[in-house]
Amino acid sequence: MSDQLKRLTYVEDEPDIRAITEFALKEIGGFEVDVCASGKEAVARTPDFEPDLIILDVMMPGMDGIETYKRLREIPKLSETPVVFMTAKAMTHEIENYRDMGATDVIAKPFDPTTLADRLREIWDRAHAGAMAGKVAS
Amino acid sequence: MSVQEQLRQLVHAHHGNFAKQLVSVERLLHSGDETGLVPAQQIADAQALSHQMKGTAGSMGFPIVGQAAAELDDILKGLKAEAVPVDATRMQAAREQLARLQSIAAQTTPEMSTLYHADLSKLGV
Repeated sequence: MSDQLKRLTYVEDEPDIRAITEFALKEIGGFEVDVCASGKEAVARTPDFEPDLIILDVMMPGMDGIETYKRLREIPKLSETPVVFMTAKAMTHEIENYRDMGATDVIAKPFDPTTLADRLREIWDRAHAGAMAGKVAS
Repeated sequence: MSVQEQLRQLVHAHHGNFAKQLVSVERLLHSGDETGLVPAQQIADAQALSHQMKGTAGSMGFPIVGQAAAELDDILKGLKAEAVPVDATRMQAAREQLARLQSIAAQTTPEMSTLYHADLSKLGV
């Protein structure tokens, strides 16, 4: 795990939301981003890209976000990469379900693209601090 | 092209796409057969679209449009859960909300997006 959030994999099927999020991540956040239009693309490309964090849409045709998450988790080098679900399905019980599954956090749609990068840095910093604390303890 | 201009271009593109999605939802919600029943699949497709529109419009800086789409999404979720064809009487609330959403969207221009005049320089962009 690197010390700073730099590389992101972002998975989203809907073109408009993908475009504004890609803009927010690259132009505002300054991240290096691999944008995937489907879960299948993400499973194929993410192991080589080795992101610091993965952002997943939930409702996608074909392989949905949950299935994509499970498939990515089966890949050893991605088994501990923080995953953030970005979804309009963000009722309290739904958020709890994502967290129970092992998701690092959830960002509800709609979101503010101008603050997205900062929110992701905060999420990643928390996850990174937790991972470092775990290593020290063990 | 500046970053601000890129953002405005995205907002303009979304504004046009949203109008097309509204046409698709309208077609689905008025797709009753000869008995006037709207098939469950059309309801499910319209719900998926309205769900998408709620997230996209809000994120593109159109919170009022997004809220109206969310209300349509809620109505359609209820109808979708029944998984049966829906008659005209029970379609009324969804069609009225769609009309409301269409009216709000028709009065909305790209320049009304909260992102259109966002000061990106404050973000270090």
